Amino acid sequence: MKKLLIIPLILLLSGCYNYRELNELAITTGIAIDKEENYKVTIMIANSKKEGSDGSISPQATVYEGNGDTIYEAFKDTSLALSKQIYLSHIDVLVLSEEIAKNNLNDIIDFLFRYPQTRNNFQLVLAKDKKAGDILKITTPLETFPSQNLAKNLEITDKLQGFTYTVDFTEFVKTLTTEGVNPVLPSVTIIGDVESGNKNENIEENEPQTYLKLDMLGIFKDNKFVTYADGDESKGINIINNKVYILGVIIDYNDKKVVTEITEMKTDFEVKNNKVIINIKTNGSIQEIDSNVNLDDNKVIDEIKNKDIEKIKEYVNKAIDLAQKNKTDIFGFGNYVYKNDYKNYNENWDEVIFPNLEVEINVELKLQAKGSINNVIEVN
Amino acid sequence: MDKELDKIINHIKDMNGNSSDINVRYFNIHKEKVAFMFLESVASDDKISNYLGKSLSINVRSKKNIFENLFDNINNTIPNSKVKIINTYDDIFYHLSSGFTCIFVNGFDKCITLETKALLDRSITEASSEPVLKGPKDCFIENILANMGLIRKRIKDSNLYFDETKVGKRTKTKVVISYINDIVDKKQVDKLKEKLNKIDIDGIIDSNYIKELLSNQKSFLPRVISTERPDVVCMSLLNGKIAIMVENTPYVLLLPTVFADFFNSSEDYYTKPFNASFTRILRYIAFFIAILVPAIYIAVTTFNMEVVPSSLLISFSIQKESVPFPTIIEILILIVAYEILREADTRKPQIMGASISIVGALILGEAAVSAGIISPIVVIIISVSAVSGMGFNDPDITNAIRTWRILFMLAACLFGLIGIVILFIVFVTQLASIEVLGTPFLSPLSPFSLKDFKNSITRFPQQSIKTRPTYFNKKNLGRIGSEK
Repeated sequence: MKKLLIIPLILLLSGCYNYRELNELAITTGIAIDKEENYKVTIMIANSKKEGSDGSISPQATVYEGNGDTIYEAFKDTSLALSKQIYLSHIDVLVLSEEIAKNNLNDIIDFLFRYPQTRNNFQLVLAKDKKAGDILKITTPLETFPSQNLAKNLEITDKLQGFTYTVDFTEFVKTLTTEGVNPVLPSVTIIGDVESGNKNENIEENEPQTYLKLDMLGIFKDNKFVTYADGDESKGINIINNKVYILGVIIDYNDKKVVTEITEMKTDFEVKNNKVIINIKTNGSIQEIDSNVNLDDNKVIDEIKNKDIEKIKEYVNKAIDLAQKNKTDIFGFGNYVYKNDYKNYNENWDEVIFPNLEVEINVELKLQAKGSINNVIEVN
Repeated sequence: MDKELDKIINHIKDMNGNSSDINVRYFNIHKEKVAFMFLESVASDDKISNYLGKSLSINVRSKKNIFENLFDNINNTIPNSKVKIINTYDDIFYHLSSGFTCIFVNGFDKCITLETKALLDRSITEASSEPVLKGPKDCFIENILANMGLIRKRIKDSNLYFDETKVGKRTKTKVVISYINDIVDKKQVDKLKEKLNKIDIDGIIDSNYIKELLSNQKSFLPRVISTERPDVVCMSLLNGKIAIMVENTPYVLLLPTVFADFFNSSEDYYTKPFNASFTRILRYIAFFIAILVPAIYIAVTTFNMEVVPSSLLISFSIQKESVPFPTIIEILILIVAYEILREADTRKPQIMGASISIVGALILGEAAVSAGIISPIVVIIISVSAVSGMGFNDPDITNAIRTWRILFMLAACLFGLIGIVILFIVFVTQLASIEVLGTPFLSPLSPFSLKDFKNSITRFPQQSIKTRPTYFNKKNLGRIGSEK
């Protein structure tokens, strides 16, 4: 019996390693990092509480800032204002300013990857033309927390639009460290006035004066931000990187617009003798027609289909042109060669071989559905 | 035993300190002194006056002895089905206490006893602690003969055996072991008999005494199941189990027990197989919810917050904001309060009815939360755990759940999810190490037997359960399609 008594005593000796009470933590759901004279870190804390008029308690987002020569110091500076310990496991989104993306990406990646608490599945986004810290401050009526709003916005746009896609931290770092491929990041910008955007009145109006809006993809060369793609180029990057769930292809037909919605798109490519062959297989359905055409006629369908194929090829070509112009292989052609044809790989792939690659594009499109109606409704 | 009548009577009276319920009547038959004696507390006055009195007076009236002496004459003419001749004082007193009447004839050192029991039992009522919706409603009572009858009338097989022994130095309680001779494993019966004979105790008041004396106390889970339902006992007997019936107890013990038995109810066989399987699996889920949920809550809110979705964690955190205690204290407060409430609810007289539930619901549910002593989520956690633990009608398993629940909570509080995992390994190891009369406690899961799954964790249609469980006895397994 005396021996048995030892067991609980040993258990008590160990203490409670890593024991934390939930109300002692400042659960951070968003981080934004800017560079001015030194690093400026903005964190969004989600578990401050707001008491409703009926006594109900609901969470409220609060934003704190701190400065420091290193990211570590900036975080410590932030926590001087807090009565709780900063807790980073539940970050939804990390917003980077262009300045940081151009010059200091390594410091941030090292800090966050090294830091044991972070979960590495948060999303990265660039703050286009704005301060990263301001992005987290814009209140939104749709979600309680701006960070959550931004993360969900990225996810749903990825699924429904086809010109931007989500990049989480692990994927970003993986791309950075992989030979022969460079990363891209989605970007976000603020529409309206920043000052009024961080006030609660902003979300009480029927038409918020200030809100966040996703922008096009930003492309990187190694760990440095280079430039933003435009709409068509972004679509092209999505197509080549096989990230398209849904994509609207808009063509001119008889001087009017025809919209085809692309679904189930599958892209693969191979690189042979300095030539890239891109094979795209996809389904499509007609979504919107302005002109008075007879869709029962197979010739018309074929014409629309061919124009769609041309358009898809145009998107892809534009994207490759942009990348070649900036000498950055964001598609992983280099990685393909590195893996499959190592002898032809060059250390300076981006500079030497990539800009001179020839491109061949094969598109196989099945135009299947015409929507709920066959022909255009005629107005007499 | 003495031969003189007066000496015998006085000796018996002395033995019992002249207790007030000893009743003796003297009379003469053909100038021989005769007396009969009974305890009026347990004997029926009606039976004695109407039958015994009458038959003795026939002896008085008849002129000659057909038999050699008066003792034999009475012995042979008395109209009673349970007549016995005994010749020790201890035996006499045992029979007197059982409601027998003893007839003494002067000059004989033996006496005739005959059954004149008063009916001290309640009638067969509806099973109150193991109710079923659609199924037999009768239930065992305190009378062991009636209980045996309830089984006998369901299994009319010559192989249904009843073995009687007496346990308890003072109470001399009848304990009957029942089994179907050609189904049961004889080794188990022998082992059980040996164990019963080894019991050395002054008194057996209830079958739970036997239950406790038979099992080894190292695990929290009970190793013997007790039931008040004759249909459950009969099903178990047909599966090769042994039933122990104890005098004056409406609960019959069933041996050997396996873990799966706690999750089975006789109702499972009175509903559709698919529904019964679903309910059984639900009971397993409830069991694990009951023991694990508070522990998991503690672990994920104090150690492993990464595993909780962000919005849920934020909601937990806000609810915890105004509570001054650590999570473990908060949960312990509520668990202790709940256990006290449950205990009070069990012990309180029916007439006090609603007061406890009102106080409990109001104070625990509402006031404690608004006073900031505990957070609302903890109330939900404990309620879920408590409700899940209430699906079992055996108080032993409910208490085992409670013990394990608290152990898991402590492990979670000290080591988080790792603590829970380690304790779970200990828990499973302990279950796997139990053997009841040689049957592994975790069968048919370990040792694994797919055939037995049909009627253990799930319940297949009757037609497809072709054999009895193989883990009690290996022989004579046929249930459907065999001779008997």
